[in-house]
Amino acid sequence: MSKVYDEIKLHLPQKADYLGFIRLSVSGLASKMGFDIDTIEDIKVAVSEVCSRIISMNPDACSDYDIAFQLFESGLKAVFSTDNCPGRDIFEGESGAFAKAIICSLMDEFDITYGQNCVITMGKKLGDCVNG
Amino acid sequence: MFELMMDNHTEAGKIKIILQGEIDISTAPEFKAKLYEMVGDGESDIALYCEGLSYIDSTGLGILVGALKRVRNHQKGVYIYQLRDNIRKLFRITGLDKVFILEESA
Repeated sequence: MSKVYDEIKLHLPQKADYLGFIRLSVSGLASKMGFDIDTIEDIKVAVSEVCSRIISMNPDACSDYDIAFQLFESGLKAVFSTDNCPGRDIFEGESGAFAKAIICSLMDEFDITYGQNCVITMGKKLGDCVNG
Repeated sequence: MFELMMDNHTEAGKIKIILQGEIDISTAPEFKAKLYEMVGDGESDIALYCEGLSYIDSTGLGILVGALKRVRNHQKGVYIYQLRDNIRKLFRITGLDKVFILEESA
């Protein structure tokens, strides 16, 4: 994608209580960028799936995680990071496999890096998905 | 928030369940407990009405698969009615449209 023109960062507790807030926020952001209604739904679903996997890694809910929404002229990128890396695939298990299939299908870009931090990156190009 | 209601009027031996609202990991434990209680040992077909279901994530789909496994042990099935297009899309992506019986209308 081209150069980032704005970046919006969220610092969140690893709690399921805020999933609705995240879905609402990313929907509003994607709408403001001009994505069409179906693509807004796709982005919302994909973002929520990643948040769910991060939260489910830590049922004790004593950590935080970050989401950086990077706005490009050509699309939207979401970078999720947590320093509470479980040392295992966060998409393991049946639900994890469903989540991964959903994200891969709905987004144009999807990448996971396991290191000291867990970093998950996903992107959606505006392309033909423009409202109008 | 979600709502799960069992209709006492069974249709052709199916247990009729109406599902409304949003299912994600915040509502999944309650959804799982209620659904599995309604499904029981899985000795009857399940008719799941989803007209009011606005959102379900992979955790919710996994719970539905768990219910399906119970009824399949008794050679029964889960019939899903009135799915919204956005949810039907998730069933298609995950291949679950091939294991559940998705009815076009009811």
